[in-house]
Amino acid sequence: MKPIQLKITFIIATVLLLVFIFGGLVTYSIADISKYNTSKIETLSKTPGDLSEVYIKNWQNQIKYKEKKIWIFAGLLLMTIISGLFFLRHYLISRIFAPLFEMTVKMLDFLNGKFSYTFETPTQDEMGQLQTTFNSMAQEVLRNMEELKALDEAKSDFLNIASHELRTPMTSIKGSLGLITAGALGKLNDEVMSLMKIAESETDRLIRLTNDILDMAKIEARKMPLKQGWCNLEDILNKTIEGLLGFSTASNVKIKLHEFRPISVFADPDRFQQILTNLLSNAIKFSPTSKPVEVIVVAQQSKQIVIQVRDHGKGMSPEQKSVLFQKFRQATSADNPLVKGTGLGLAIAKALVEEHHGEIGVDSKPNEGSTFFFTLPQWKYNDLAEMKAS
Amino acid sequence: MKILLAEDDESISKITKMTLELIGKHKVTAVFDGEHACKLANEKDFDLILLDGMMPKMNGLDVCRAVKAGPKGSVPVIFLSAKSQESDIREALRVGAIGYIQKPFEPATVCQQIEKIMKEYGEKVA
Ligand SMILES: Nc1ncnc2c1ncn2[C@@H]1O[C@H](COP(=O)(O)OP(=O)(O)OP(=O)(O)O)[C@@H](O)[C@H]1O
Ligand SMILES: [Mg+2]
Repeated sequence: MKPIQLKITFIIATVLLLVFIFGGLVTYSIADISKYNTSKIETLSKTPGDLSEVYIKNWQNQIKYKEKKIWIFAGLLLMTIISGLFFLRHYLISRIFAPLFEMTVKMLDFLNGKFSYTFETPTQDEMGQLQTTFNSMAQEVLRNMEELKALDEAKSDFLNIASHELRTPMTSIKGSLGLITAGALGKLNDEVMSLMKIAESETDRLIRLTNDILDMAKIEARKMPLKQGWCNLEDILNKTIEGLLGFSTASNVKIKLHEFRPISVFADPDRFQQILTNLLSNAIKFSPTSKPVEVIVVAQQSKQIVIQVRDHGKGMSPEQKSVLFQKFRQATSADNPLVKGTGLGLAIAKALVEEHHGEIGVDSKPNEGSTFFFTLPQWKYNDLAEMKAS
Repeated sequence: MKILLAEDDESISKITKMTLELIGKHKVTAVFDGEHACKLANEKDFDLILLDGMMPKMNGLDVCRAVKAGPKGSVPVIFLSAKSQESDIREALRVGAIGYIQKPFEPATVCQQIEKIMKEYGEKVA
């Protein structure tokens, strides 16, 4: 009901009521004071003669007169009822239905996060109490939200500052060590060189650790928004493998990328590479040198794409599998002593895959190697324009 | 090459300068804030400008914008970035930088990285 319609109902009701009451009263009183009937009665009664005829006529006149009065009265009653109904309608709409509707609209706004859309002037009735209660509820929620936002911003600031403050000194340390070991300042004797190399590789480890911890914190604080776009899968795979070349040659493990029909995936390229790097670095770490680590892409027709990283290392037991993807957890056992690392790699990979709405998992048995895999729901063949799954 | 290096952290600045001079045999002028970088970039002739993302007074992005709009707009700009400034980097590439080098960088390879970016840029321009 728009306000203008409400107003019209109200005006119609008022006009009807006024017209009917005044019109009715006027007619009623005209009928009442018109002496037409009564004067006739008088004239008849003055005529001597047939008294009964006079009486009957008189009586008939009386009845006609009363009938008229009853009709007028009934009309009046009906009109009053009609206008009363109009008033009732007006009342129901303006005092109950419209406020209820408004309440629903406000609540929907509220649901959509517009907490500031409250009732400016609550009415003085029960509906007003409801509105006032709604207002205080909205205020409370708004206050809490603002508090949370401030906290969230503080957290965000902290993460950014921590990132910067931790990385800056590491850049200097790594840079200094690098300059020296590169021989830019003159040749070093072997003992010094070996110590410098230790310092260098431990610095690298520290940097990786810091990056992982910061990434994990950012993921958990939901401060790592994805920058998704269509990217060529093969390019990303090659780039990742290239990035790991140092590590794989040092470990003497080859990485073999199986051929597949060219595909594009909808993903954040940097994060995608991070997922792959984490899986591949594990595979290299746990692989025997004689067998390569394999990367296999399986496109499930009209479904998701599966990327597998397979190694022929010592594999793992179901118990070990169960803790893999948790933070700081490593699948340790008597014959599998704690390896260098923080146990963050897979936790980060899992969080990132899930951010992409995919799944991550592992197939493995002790002594049979492991196949880590993850899925991505959005992909397409490069030679086909249409998208395979939503 | 004559390189202008804008980096606010003194240690990093010193190491980067040494790396570029000792390994790359470049000539490096170091400044420690954005305003200075802007002023020098517009006054003197450089073959390359290296900008840190976060700097006092003017950040790298602002410097890059200002230089690109100024008289020496054709001088290539490369960013030195910490990982947390990825979005800024993308913005920087849009504003006219030709590449970026991730911090912490490897002194042994940073000169090669610069060369690679410059070469790709040279091919693109030609
Ligand atoms: N391919 C694999 N074969 C056997 N075990 C594995 C394999 N990948 C992971 N694991 C087990 O899972 C554990 C957790 O892996 P994750 O990548 O999370 O941590 P990490 O490699 O120990 O440390 P980080 O990756 O943080 O340096 C590893 O310590 C290892 O025990
Ligand atoms: Mg790992």
